[in-house]
Amino acid sequence: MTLTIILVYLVLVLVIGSISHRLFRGTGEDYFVASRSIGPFLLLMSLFGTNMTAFAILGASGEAYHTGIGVFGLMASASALVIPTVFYFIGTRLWALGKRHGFLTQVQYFRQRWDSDGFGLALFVVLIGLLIPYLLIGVMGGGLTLHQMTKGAVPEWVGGLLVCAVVMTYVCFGGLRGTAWANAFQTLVFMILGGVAFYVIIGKLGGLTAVMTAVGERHPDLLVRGEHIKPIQLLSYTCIPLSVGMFPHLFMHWLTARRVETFRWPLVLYPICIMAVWIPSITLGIAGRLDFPSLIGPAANSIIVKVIDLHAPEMLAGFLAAGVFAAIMSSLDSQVLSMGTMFTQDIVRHYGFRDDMSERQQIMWGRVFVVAVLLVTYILSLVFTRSIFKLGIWSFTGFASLFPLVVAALFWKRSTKHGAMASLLSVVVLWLYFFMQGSETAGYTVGGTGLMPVAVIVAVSALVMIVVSLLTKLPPAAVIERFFPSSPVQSDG
Amino acid sequence: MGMKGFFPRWLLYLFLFVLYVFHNDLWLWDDPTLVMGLPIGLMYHILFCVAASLLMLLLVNFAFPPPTLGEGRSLPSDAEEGEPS
Repeated sequence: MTLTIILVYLVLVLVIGSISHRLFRGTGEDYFVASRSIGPFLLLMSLFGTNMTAFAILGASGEAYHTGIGVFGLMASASALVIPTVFYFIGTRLWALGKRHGFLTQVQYFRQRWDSDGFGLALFVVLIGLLIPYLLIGVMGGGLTLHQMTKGAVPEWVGGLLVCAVVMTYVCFGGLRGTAWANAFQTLVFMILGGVAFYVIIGKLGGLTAVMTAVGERHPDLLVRGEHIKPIQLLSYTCIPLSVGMFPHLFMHWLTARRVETFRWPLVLYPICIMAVWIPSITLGIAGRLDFPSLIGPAANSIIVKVIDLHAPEMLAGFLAAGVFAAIMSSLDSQVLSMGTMFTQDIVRHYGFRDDMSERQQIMWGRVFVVAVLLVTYILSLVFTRSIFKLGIWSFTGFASLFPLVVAALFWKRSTKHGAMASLLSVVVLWLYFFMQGSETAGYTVGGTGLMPVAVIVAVSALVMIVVSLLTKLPPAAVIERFFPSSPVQSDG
Repeated sequence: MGMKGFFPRWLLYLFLFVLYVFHNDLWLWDDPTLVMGLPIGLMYHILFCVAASLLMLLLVNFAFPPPTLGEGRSLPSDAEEGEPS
């Protein structure tokens, strides 16, 4: 039953992707950013779906199983404020710059903003390095989920292969439009199914009050923050959602907006979407402690699967598996496409064709790289062990640590390429340092104080950017005038 | 837009900061009271999400679009051939 529901679901996703292909205009801009024509609903769904990974949802319920309600404040409500704020201040500006100057990738923007090919290349390497663990988690997570949901009947390599094949088909066919359509469908699926699972299971357990009263009697520490989370951790964790400012896949989705007003409803509804997904995730994670009180470490990440197995009909388990697949693929597709776009635009087009590449060549190379990226990811997923999941958590820290770069580029005329390069270097060095210090410790904080490493890296990289920029020469006046015009100009969109 | 001045941009930005400060609800840290079936520390953060959404509603109504591409620079116009979505 579970397998049948998943297969039907995957076919539906493929159908949606192929329908979107009928709107394809045959240009590079259409393939990579849907001709910058996406409306508010699709923008909201694709931004949210891309950012909300299954790893986050399952991992959060596992975390709530161990540490209780504090996880919601750490990971969900902080994001509900920080992410739309970043969209408001950063996303709209990058959208406008992208539309005005025809940018398709972050590297194109930063390279021109600081007039430095070297910085563009260094940033490319760092972004790709941080994206790879994400892709691996998506593919490995797909395999693992299918394996668990079918009680071992489907091997992990088959699940991973299935995810790669479906994503490759609709991303190659539909480009970003296909990705946005499939994302919208998949985001709706996992939001609705999360709500249904919550309603059915909590109802079976006697209602919220009964569940939480029972948890309060047996595991009272789960209903408060207590010793599980330190106040400084709650404060410094708010740096983590800054990562959305530097995610290549979110940058790509921002560029698809039809006009600046397209951002309005996504800004307003993003916190509500977060709430809708995380309430079931956290409460079911906590409730699971009643039936499965002794799960240790990462074993708790499958708590939702276990609770559904125990309390919900088999059909719901099948739908939930489809929902988890939806969350996995709605992130994987955008990440794969953004990586394909970066290789095509930032390497092949810029260095191989001196920025002179026909529309047809761009699309062809884009597709080649989508296939290549997925193929390499799939092969790596067979080689790597599950310890790669730890690296995924650190990817967030890496992207968030790059946030001072985008702030300086957009808001500080005086910032220079040397400042940017030094800032990037400080991020790499500190990230490696903290990774080596804390990769083996679950919930690592700086010196055990509760301070998240990301807060330290962001502060240092911002300081380095300021000091080195002030000590070095400004970019040429023409470059500054291009990005910070001194007089009003006519719209050229 | 006569209503634009009702909430000046600076005031909304101040609200953003104040809301950010209120994210740190130290006063509910060890309170296990249930409100509508949920622990108060969780209910607080759920309401925080609603407050964030309402603040975004104010921002997009009274301070949108944000100042873009330098003072006085106009925004790019709409796509010539947008598609319904």
